[in-house]
Amino acid sequence: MALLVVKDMTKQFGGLRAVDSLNLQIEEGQIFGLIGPNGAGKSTAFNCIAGLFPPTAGEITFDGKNINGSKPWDLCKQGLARTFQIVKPFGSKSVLYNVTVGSFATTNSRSEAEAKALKVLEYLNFADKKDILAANLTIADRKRLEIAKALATEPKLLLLDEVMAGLRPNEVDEMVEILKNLRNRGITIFVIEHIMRAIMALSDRIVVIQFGKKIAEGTPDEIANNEKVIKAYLGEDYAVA
Amino acid sequence: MNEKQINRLAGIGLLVIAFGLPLVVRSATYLHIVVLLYFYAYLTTSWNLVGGFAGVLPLGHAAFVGIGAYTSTILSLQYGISPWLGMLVGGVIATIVGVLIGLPTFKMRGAYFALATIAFAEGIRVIVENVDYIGPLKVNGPRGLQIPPLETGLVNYMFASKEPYYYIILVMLLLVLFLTWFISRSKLGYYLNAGGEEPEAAMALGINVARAKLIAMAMSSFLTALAGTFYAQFSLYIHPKSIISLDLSFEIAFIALIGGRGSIAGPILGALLLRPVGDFSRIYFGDTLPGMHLIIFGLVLILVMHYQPRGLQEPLTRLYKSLVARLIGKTTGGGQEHGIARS
Ligand SMILES: Nc1ncnc2c1ncn2[C@@H]1O[C@H](COP(=O)(O)OP(=O)(O)OP(=O)(O)O)[C@@H](O)[C@H]1O
Ligand SMILES: [Mg+2]
Repeated sequence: MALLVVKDMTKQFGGLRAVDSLNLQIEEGQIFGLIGPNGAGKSTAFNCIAGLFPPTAGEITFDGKNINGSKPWDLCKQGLARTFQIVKPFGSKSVLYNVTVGSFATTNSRSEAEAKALKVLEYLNFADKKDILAANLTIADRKRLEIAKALATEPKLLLLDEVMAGLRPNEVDEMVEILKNLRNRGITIFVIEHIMRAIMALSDRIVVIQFGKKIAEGTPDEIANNEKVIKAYLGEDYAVA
Repeated sequence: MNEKQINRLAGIGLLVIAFGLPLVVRSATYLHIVVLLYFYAYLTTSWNLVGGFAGVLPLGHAAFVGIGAYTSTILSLQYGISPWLGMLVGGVIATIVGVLIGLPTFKMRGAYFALATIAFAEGIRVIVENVDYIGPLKVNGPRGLQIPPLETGLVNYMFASKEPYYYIILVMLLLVLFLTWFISRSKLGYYLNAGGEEPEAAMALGINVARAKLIAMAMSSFLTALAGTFYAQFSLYIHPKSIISLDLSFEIAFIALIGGRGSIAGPILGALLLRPVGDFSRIYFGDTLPGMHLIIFGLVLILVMHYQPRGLQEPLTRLYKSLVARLIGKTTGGGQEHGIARS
């Protein structure tokens, strides 16, 4: 069943059409990639879907319900979680506190929320840092914290906006494994990523956008060999590699 | 002894001192000063629910003090209603006003919110100062209201000596501190902190930030109004300048910022430092430079913000923790990060 359907979604900022009649459909259990050059409108598409602001036009359906104009907190309760490209930790609080904020989405009890947060941290090999202030984390750990917070809300669909940017190669590999595991646990993942090696290894399907418009869609193989994509984004040498 | 036992012992020690103080301090003048100190600590702790946890800077809380004081006083003077009941009515009215102020203003950022709260509070003061009656209710303009002596006792919320007032405000302070502690460990506390620090991230985690702030505002205005009734019964005379003044709103914020916003101990430490400073400044400069205490507060604030941006509670908490650690024979250090994270 399609978990997320985006139909003719457009987002206009003044004279700029950041997202232009975008169509896509994500099946339950998929890892779905979204790529494109800087400023293509990827994050803007996420922001519309996650309810940060409503799209100017179009229709978004999540889990069978129209969610145009729904508020982020309601969407989160319905099972749609997201991370921010520019990480937003609660800096003055510990890692555990940060993640507990997320797990309160499904419980009112603090001890329960904290226990759930600990489980998420353990799952992400992050539990040893639970008492560190979020402001003191390294970039890699801040990205991991973003995922931990979102995961703690127990989402069906997880939107990840460049969670691998700034990671070292071995950290990227670790993250790829973590995301695959999450999918195996039944979480559908919609991921924006610039690191081709990762997105190609992860995704079942990829959409490429440029100037807000979809220019290609297909399996990683199809995308890697699509001439339009190579020209617009991947660069001539990618096809060879 | 372990850390928990020492904490408990320290807490019990403080309680014994607080409850025993009137047995040692027999002077009515000094007791009066301590009562006002508790009064300010109470007001700031109530303010802290919004100004500390929710991360906004309300600068009009005097309006709620005024609503509490005027409501219970008018109900008592005109209708013979017990100030205890009037206190609750005042609390409810303040809650409604607080929510009405919060609804349009919580979407504003930073300075705009602060200015909006000042405007609301000043609006209320100007109204009270310029009319004698609001409907059938006599507010008596700038002259204010005098509470005539009634039979003393708990029923009339009126006492011949300072001690009963001392214990009433002490218990109120302890209750509001307990409430703050409880909230800070609850879902609401987490939601307020998160929403205050990173609203977009908080919303994405399922938090209706504006609603959490409104709940905090409602509680804060209610609690603040209760102190208004206390003040009226304690001083038996209220007027707009004393109780709905910008001075009072600012002093609350000063105490919170200097003591440590968003922490439980902050308002108490701030009041312990600023109240004596304010009292002395009023005694020595009161006639010649009446606003001197605010200037001194401003200077203290600049110093504290420069050296301890998280307020006095931060270094003092650290000091206390290292003392405890030394007592139980553990090496100190490594506690700093932890201390901040927990505060
Ligand atoms: N809130 C906003 N107001 C106005 N313009 C915006 C806003 N957010 C994004 N834009 C503009 O919309 C366009 C798309 O931005 P967006 O952040 O969606 O790109 P992106 O594909 O995520 O890029 P990157 O790979 O660099 O993250 C850009 O030109 C950007 O400047
Ligand atoms: Mg982006």
